[in-house]
Parts: sequence; structure tokens; C-alpha cells
Amino acid sequence: MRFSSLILLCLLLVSGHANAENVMMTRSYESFEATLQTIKKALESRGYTVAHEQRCDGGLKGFGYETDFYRVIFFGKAEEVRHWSKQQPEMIPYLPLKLAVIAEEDQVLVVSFNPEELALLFTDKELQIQFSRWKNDIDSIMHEITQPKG
Amino acid sequence: MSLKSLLLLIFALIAWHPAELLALGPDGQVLFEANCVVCHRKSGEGSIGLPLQKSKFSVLSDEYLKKTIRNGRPGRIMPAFDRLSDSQVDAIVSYLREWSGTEPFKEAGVIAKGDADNGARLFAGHCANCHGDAGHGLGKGTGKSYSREREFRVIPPAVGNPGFLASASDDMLRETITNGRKGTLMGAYGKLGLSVQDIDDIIVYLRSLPTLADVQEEEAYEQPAPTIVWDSPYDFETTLTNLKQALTGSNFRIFPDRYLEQGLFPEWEVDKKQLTVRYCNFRHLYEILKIEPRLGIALPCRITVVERDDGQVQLIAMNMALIARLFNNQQLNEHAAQLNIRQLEILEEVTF
Repeated sequence: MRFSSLILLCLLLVSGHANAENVMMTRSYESFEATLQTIKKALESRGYTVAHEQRCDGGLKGFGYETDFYRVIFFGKAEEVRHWSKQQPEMIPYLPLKLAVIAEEDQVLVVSFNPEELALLFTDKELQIQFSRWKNDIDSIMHEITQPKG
Repeated sequence: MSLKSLLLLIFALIAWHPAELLALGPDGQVLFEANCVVCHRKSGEGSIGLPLQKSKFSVLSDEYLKKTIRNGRPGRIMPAFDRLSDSQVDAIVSYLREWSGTEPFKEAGVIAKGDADNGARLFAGHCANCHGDAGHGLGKGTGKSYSREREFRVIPPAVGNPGFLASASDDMLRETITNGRKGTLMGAYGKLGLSVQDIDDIIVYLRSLPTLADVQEEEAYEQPAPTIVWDSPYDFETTLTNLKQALTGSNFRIFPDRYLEQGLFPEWEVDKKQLTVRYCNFRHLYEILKIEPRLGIALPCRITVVERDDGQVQLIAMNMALIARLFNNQQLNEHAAQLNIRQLEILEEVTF
């Protein structure tokens, strides 16, 4: 294990988000917009591309339903998405990966499936490694979201 | 690992976890913030999880809190924190005790004896109005709602939940029913017409409900596939047209088409034979978000039409009934099962 990975692992062990459940979650104390920006930067710095931002709040409001900000960020690494959609078409509904960003008054919840829990639903061994990598990345992204910004 | 790495690792751990590494035991506040705050919020106002009202802690024993953390609430969001060590659970409970400024409820160990049938009648008459039939809970949703109108802003506890019943002692149940809970809608039924024996009858009835072991046995089912894959007898374009017609006919609104790889590759490189049809019924969405605000990670509903290299066209969708289980939310499971049936009907229509 590289030294930087080791330190990251230590930090993740004590970060303020729930990460051993079926659903991974963290809470941001920044504004909704600032949280979105933090997420996008965190994704890009790890080599992910934001493919799409689904504005669930806009759709609901358009039909007369009251809601606070509610977005879903679709993200992925292009080659990974292509590889897995061809190699394992059953993965298609789970690609690209997603983060739900949910406003709660002055706080924001950021939610993801725990890829390691999804991994239990698939049998491919190479895919298991991929799921673990995604899990580690989402862990570190969630850690970044909780950090106070200078 | 080099010596330098090892020293730096130790330094990093001490910097973050001084108390634990100096053998003072786990830090309850750190553990609370790492495991509980995301659902209950820092000051216990509640969110996905129920509010942690400080005054309520005086009627809860430490044992109840420990068992609640350990057992969770099957089907009611709160997971079972079985990955925490006993000392970590103890530390969280000590922190909660200090944070709430309360003394633990003292258990006398008096086991309720009585008539479960009478208890069932009394429960239906006095309790089910808020706690639901057989204590399954009433009102759609979880914890506290910040964004959507619903029957209860804070959902009353499902007192028939096997995780709750495995955590609460008869003494605690008796105290709560007799004297109520200050600051909540829970009344003091000892002063509202129930006798001491009536209250014990209700407890005996609650003890007759399914236990954690029953639920675990039910959950030991065969795991279905995470994805629904249907072969289409038609070509790509015809399948796509059929799909959109079927969705519209089922009262779904269809969003603009998106290729699976769209936004990831330059437009000219995107595989045009993997097209995702995204659809939504906003009324259903609104209702389902009341039940499970986190469902966004499985949204919007989508079916991807794929043409394989051999020319076979397939329709591929998430198995919502399976995915819903990841949320530990029984109400969501029921909705997802219905959604799956609708989805299968649509796929049948498309490929007929």
C-alpha cells in the first residue's frame, strides 16, 4: 500500500459519515450550491466526469409539488462505463454512478448506494474489485464534503 | 511498510483519535458524529432518523439504548450497527447520557403478566391510532420531514417493530404507557382510563408479536437478480417506439432521451445503441419521497434499450423490488413491488 493511500485510509476511518451500511450518507453544512460545487470538484479531482445533473426538484415543482432542492448527480469514468456496460450488461441500470443531493433547511444530505453492497448482487470477480474501488472513491468524496472549507 | 510510513500512520491516528490511542477508551462523541449525526443531526433534531429529544432520555435505560444501536429497527430505516464493538456502543451511550443531561431509567425487572387478547383490544382502541395496527407504525415515511407535507411531521414509533421490542423492557413500556412522553403526542394512559392490569395486558400483547428471530428467518430468502433483462423481438427503433407508447399509456411522463454514455464521451463517440428512456409519474414520485427521501439514488425510473453486437435488442431495467431492500424501509418495499409489477407489464406490452 502506498503511503498516501495509508494516510487516506486512516482519515476515512475517522471521517464523519456513515459508510458501512447499504446506503452511504454524509451531511454537509455548506449551502446547497456550495455542496454541489464541492461534489463536482471532488469527482473531477478523482478522474470522474459529471455526465448529468438531474433536477428532481424542478420536475416536482413544475407539477405543483412543494420540495426543497433535490438533485441527482450522474458521474463516471467513460472507459469504465463503456467496459462494464458491454462486459456485464446487467450493470447498465447502475451506470453511470449516482449521488443524490438533498437539501434539509440549512444542511445538505449526500447519499449513494454502497457499491460493496451492490457487489453482493453480482458474481463477476473483476467487477467486485471495481465495486471496491468505487466504494473507496465515494468514501473519500464524502469525507471531502464534510471538511470545513477555508 | 517502511518505518517512516509506520511512524506517520501512528502520528495521524493519534492526531485524530487521541483518547482511544492513549487507552482512555473510544470517544463517544466522535463515534456519535461518525455514525448517528447523518440521520439524527448534530443537535438531535432528527432527519432521516427520528429526533433524539433530550428529555426523552430520562425514560430510556442504557440497556435500551445499547440494544437499539445493536438491533436497529428492521424495515424502519435505523440499521443494526453490528460492526461497532461493545466498547464503542457503550461510549456512544455514555455520550448520549452526558449530552442529554439525564440519568438512565432504572429497570426493576418486573415482567408483565396478563391477557394478550384483552391487550390486543386495548391496543386497537387506544394505541393503533398513532402506532398503527399491530404497532407497525402509522403515517408515511421516516424520521422527520423537512421538505414534504405529510400526515405526521415526526413519525410515531412502530412499537410492534421487533427491534424495538427486543430493546425495550417491560418496565420501560409500562412507564411510557402509564406516564406518557413529555413533549410528544404520547399521553399518560395511567391517567387516561387504563388500569395497571390493562397496561400489562397491552405489554403482553406486544410481546406476542413477531420477534427479531422471526424477521431474520423471513429475510433468509433466495436473492433475485439485480437487473431485469428482456429480449425484444423487434428492431432497436421499433422497440424504442413501443416502449415510449407503453410508458405514456401507463401515465408516465417521459424525459428527453439520453444515451448511456452521454456526457462521458464526445458526442460522436457515444454508443447510439444504448439508449436510456427515463420516465416518471410525479404524483407517485412525491408520495414515494415522503416514504424514502433518499430514493434519488435509484431515480429516475429508466429502461435502457440496447442492441447487442449480434443484433439482439434488449430492454434492461433495475430490479426495484431488490434495490428497495437496501433502504431497510418496509413501506418502500411495498411500493417497489408494485412498481416492479407495472414495469413488467410495460415490458410485456413492448415485446408482445
